[in-house]
Amino acid sequence: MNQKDFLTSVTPFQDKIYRLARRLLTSEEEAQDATQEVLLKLWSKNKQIKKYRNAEAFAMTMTKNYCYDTLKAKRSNNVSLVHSNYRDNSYDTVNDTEVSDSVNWVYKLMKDLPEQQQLILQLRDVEEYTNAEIAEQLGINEGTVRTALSRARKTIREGLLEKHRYGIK
Amino acid sequence: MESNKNIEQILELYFEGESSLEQEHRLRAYFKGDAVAPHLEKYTALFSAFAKAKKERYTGEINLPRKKAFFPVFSIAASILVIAGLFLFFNNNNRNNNNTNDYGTYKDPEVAALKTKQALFMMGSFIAQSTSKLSALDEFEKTTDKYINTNSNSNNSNNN
Repeated sequence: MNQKDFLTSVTPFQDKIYRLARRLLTSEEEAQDATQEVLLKLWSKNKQIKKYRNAEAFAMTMTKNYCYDTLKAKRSNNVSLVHSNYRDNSYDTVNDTEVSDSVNWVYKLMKDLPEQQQLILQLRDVEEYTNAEIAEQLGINEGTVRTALSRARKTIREGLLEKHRYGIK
Repeated sequence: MESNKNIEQILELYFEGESSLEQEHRLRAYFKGDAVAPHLEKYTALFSAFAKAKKERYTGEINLPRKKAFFPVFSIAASILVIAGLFLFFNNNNRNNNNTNDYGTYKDPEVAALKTKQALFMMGSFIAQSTSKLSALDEFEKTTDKYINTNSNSNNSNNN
């Protein structure tokens, strides 16, 4: 497989990789880096790619792992800041004004979910994968996917209802 | 057009994680439309957020390492070329040196004989020149003979 074939073969899901990364990571730049990194890794495994039943599922798994790693690295970097009591409050205020829009409010609610639930919600409700596909991509069983999905959706519903009630008041 | 009751039922399933993809499609279609029941309107944001999220596109470029991909092929070809080039170059040089039979010799045997003769004559004349000077050494012998006694005389006589 040459580079051109490779790029054509990843076109259908490169946006999915980006969106998943965008959901889990904080900034667009980070998400773009993640996409680039995942595709690069995929390209380096070019020869083995035929062995995998589904290159797309494989790519999604890699994206998930990459994002987890990035988040973990970031969290460990942040430890020093927490110790020196420099809390960046400005970020939250900016965020609060941004989520005035109810659609953005949904995004904010999604961001506050545990990572796995974010991931599953993104894969199911945005990318419209089946539970079986998600289970394969994340290496968990379907029951877990369904439970996590239900929890994530309910959490978001609560958030929305709360917001809705504020609106009435 | 979906009845509100249907939608409510599907929503119930949706939040339990039990709805099928097809049912979720119906939900999306319903909330995208204008006829959303007032008591369900609060969920509109949820589904429009998903729809909006799906429109995000990766705008960056994909940079794949071009050099690395072709590295083995090109490097092997290049090294073979270099080795072959060096081999031919040196080989050619050696052959040039070996093949010319130019040892400073004459090809015509007559000329060779003449030249050899000339060279030998020259050697001969040099030797003759050097031996002619040796006659001067006889003088030493005369003077030593004068002072050396009978022994040498008897020797001389014996020899004679």
